[in-house]
Amino acid sequence: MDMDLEGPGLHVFFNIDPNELRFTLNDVLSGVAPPEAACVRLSEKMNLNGGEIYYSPASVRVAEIMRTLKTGFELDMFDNAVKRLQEKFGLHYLLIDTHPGIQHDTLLALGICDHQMIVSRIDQQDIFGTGVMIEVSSTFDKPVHLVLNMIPPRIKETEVLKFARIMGAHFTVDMAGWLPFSEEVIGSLSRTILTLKKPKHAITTRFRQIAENIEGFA
Amino acid sequence: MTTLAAFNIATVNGAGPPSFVLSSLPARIQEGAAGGVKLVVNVTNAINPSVYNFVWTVTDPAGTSKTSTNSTTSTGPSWSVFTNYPAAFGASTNLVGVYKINVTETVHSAGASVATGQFQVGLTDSASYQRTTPVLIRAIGYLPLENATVNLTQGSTSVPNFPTIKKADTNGLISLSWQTSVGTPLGTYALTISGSTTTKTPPDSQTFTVYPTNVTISGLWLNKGSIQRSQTLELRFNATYLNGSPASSGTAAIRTTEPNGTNHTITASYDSSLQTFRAFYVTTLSSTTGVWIGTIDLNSFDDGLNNGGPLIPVFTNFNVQPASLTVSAVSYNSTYSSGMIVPIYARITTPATASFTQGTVIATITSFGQKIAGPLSLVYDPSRGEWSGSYKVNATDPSGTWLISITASDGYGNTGQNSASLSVNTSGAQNPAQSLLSSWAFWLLVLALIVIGFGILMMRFRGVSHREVRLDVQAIKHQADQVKSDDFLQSIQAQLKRRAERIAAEKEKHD
Repeated sequence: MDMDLEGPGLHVFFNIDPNELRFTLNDVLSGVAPPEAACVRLSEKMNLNGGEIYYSPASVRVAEIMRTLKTGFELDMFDNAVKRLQEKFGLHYLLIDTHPGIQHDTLLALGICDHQMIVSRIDQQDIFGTGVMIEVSSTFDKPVHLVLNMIPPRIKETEVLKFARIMGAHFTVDMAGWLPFSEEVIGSLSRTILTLKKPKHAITTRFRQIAENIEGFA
Repeated sequence: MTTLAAFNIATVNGAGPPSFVLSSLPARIQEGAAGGVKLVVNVTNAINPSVYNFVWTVTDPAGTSKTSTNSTTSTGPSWSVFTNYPAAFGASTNLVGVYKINVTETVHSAGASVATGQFQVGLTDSASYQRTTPVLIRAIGYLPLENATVNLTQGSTSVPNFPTIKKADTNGLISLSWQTSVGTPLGTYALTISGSTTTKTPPDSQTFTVYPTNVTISGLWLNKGSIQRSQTLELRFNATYLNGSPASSGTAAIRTTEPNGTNHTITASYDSSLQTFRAFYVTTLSSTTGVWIGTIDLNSFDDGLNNGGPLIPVFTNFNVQPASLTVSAVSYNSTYSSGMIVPIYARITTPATASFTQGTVIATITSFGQKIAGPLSLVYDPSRGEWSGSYKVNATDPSGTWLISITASDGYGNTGQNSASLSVNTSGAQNPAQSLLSSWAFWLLVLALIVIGFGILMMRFRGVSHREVRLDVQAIKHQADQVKSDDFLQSIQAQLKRRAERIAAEKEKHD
């Protein structure tokens, strides 16, 4: 679910023209459309051997973005939409991709999610924001997991783990994994799902480890 | 008793005897104009309350009088009473001329006249016109479909297309128009209309006047907002007549004012290919620098047909800057040795590409920052159109590349500079800086600097890899506390709490 309502971009990965979508998450939050109508089935497109995958896009139209940001944040409506999706599609997991900052849409997702996963670079600005987010999340009493992203190649894994321990000592967060800076990911220009295109690549292995960690969430 | 009453009235109303002022709205109409003329009497210091009875008498140009009466009860000291001519008089406005009005009042003035006035009926919709305005002509009182001769003359000469025959409509109305142009002769015109059957007394005849039209100039445009001394500034404008058509003849005086207040006048004329008026102001190398003002003064435009304008002055401003002189120094191809004469030539031009002939031009010869000769004064050679000078190479002068820098200036602050290089080979020592370039010590120094630089880069690289991200826990918690107090966040939490309670209640009920 593309919950980055201010700047949605997941449709680029899935090679979907947003103008061809009949309904979006914005319509769901406005009560215009049922949530299942604002979902795109991607199972065939992703060449899945088993299971299903659906994508719930957000609107890229400025007027709809502004309308949603002004009016479309009601927890019950969003909670009901998520439950309906779960029932309609028999979902095992719903991954909600949010805006990186603390905005109304982020807090809404935080309110209804079971786990929060924060993806952060290891620079001063991102880590500060990550710390704030973890602290805010603590008020919702939900598990918070941290994935460190785009780790420069000069930094050794021991140093990453050391940093994770420092974070853990000050905040209630566990380390769900880390991803090195990858030329391949950048080079794909967000046009493909790299893990599908290069299943044996080192970065794919790391993504798989994180996915297995998620499967282990209670 | 009467005196006492008058005294009492004066006391009550407080301002002397009643006053009656007559006016007619409008003061002039065309024959048979719809609505006629509204006649109004404004009364002040009226006896209040009391009845006033007015008798209105209008005498037309033929001497026929018609009357109308109306009564009113005053409700205050000041009020007005009105009637309409011809509707309330059973009359018409079929005749051209002055209609005289006399108003009498019978209750308080014993039938004496209290106000007089007049209005005028004409054939045209105005008594005067500015060129380009159409003259609308209207006459009534003719027989249905009667032919009438319309003549328009200036002096004893009929205007082109006049006299003309016009047929009255079924109501006996004759109407036509005459379009004036920017070149219509100025002055008084006489208009007469005479029916083939109907004879009017007085006849349908009147005069009107044609005046020049105004010309509007909406703006003054420049080809450049800023020029250098010696350059020419072009100013343009468009002029339009009252009817919106563009003016395409005549001239306008444009005043240019220096920052110190000195005025110059240039003349703008029409450029038919560009369809605009253009004027040019040529600055000199001594022109005052700063912001100048260009003005088209009131009525400074004349289209050659006596039409003029503008009615309000038009302004613009532009900036005059010091001239940057272009110095083209001669290039040197050969190598000079001691005893040879190095000629120095420079062609110097102003921003207007004219030759710079008066001022100071000097040349300075250097080699790697070391002065060899100069300043050498150059003189202007009119036959070559260049500034010239020379330098004889000494045996003690250093060998190598020399730079000849030429600077031009004048007493007004206009400047320009350029340089040329030449090779010199003398028995003198090479310039120290130049010899350094060729020495092994120099290259060793460069190599050492490269090694040191590489070392610094490596140090910084390692520093980056070991730099730790600073975790300011206190600042993070402070920022988080601010977010926690956000209304929306608390609203989400409240909704979550209610939802949890609701689920718990439902579960309890189910159990």
